[in-house]
Amino acid sequence: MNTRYIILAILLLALGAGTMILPDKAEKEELPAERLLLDITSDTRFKEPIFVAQKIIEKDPVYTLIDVRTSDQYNEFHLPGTINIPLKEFNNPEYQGYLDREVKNNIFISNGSLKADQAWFLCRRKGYENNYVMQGGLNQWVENILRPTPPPATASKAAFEEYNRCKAASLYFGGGSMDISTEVRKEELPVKRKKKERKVAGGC
Amino acid sequence: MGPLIPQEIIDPQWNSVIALLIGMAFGFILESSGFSSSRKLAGVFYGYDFVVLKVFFTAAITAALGLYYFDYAGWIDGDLLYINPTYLTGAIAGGVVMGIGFVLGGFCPGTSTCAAAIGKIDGWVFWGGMLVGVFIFSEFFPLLQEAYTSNALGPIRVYESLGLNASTFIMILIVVALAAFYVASMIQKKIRPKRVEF
Repeated sequence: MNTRYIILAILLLALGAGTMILPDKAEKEELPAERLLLDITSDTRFKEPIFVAQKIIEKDPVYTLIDVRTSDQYNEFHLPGTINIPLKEFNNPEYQGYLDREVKNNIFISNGSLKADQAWFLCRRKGYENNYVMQGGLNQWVENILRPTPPPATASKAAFEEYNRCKAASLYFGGGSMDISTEVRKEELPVKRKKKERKVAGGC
Repeated sequence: MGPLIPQEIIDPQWNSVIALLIGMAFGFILESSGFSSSRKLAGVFYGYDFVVLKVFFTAAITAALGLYYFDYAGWIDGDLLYINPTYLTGAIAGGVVMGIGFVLGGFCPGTSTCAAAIGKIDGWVFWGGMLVGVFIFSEFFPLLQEAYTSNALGPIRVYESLGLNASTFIMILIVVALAAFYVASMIQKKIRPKRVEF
């Protein structure tokens, strides 16, 4: 028999045996305590409600919004485009595909920050990346997006811009009113009055 | 990382373009391996040429090994791969019909397309027959539907249905394939001791 065939047959058998020798695919290792502590103290996991609002308006496919409240609460009210995975289901293997994302991102939403933060903590401990928390939850959402309050007149320009963005989002989500234009701080430009040009008229 | 389209690394709009490119590559390889010859293909039934058995069995074990190791290394998410749902009755009936067609015509659907593409008359006739078959099947589908969808097992994998794990099944498949190659070459030597090119 041709030696090439024998070599190939041995190679195939070795590769097949390799699949049997390999240990079962390990679950993701839990995050070391030091790293977890570092991640908890950092606030990079928080996303502002206005950021979430923008993602909903843009229908950004990179972000999946996950409502971690109970299904009753979810059915009562939820943000458009969110899916519901109640916090107590977070260890259910059925949902691991949603929570352990490599390319996409998740933003957890609850009434406040607490439950969403717990959800983030559970995921982070398992070593899942790319999960975020909507800061302040739905309460903050109502405050910032649905009923934004104007900043004091002495506030910075950035604060006003932020307020206008919230107002615009408020219109999209059906809160607030149409008085955006009145809230826009006008640039105080010096008024230049043009001097009437008087042409020399003939006659006198 | 993979599969690339379900993970949205490649936009789903490229689906048909990629399918076309893979199809062209597949057709080219079939044709250059001599699979557009009905004599070569039918040889597997008469025992003088087992290249079909060897090529497709090798492809199956290579793909199985590749997917297993890639999944292990985390390069492909095996759970995201599309698995054709199994309808047992339909699969058995379809297998018998296709087997008979293969012996009679000397082609399977893909290779007949290859033969038709290079202008072989038997390829064209086979293709015509296939279209007639598709037409008849479609017309009688309401009558056949119940049998067609009966014994639905869903997207089941062979090793799951046998209660084995993937690695054991791959090993069994490799051993069976190597045994089949050996037996096939023995039969081929007996029936046609001199290699004949078509």
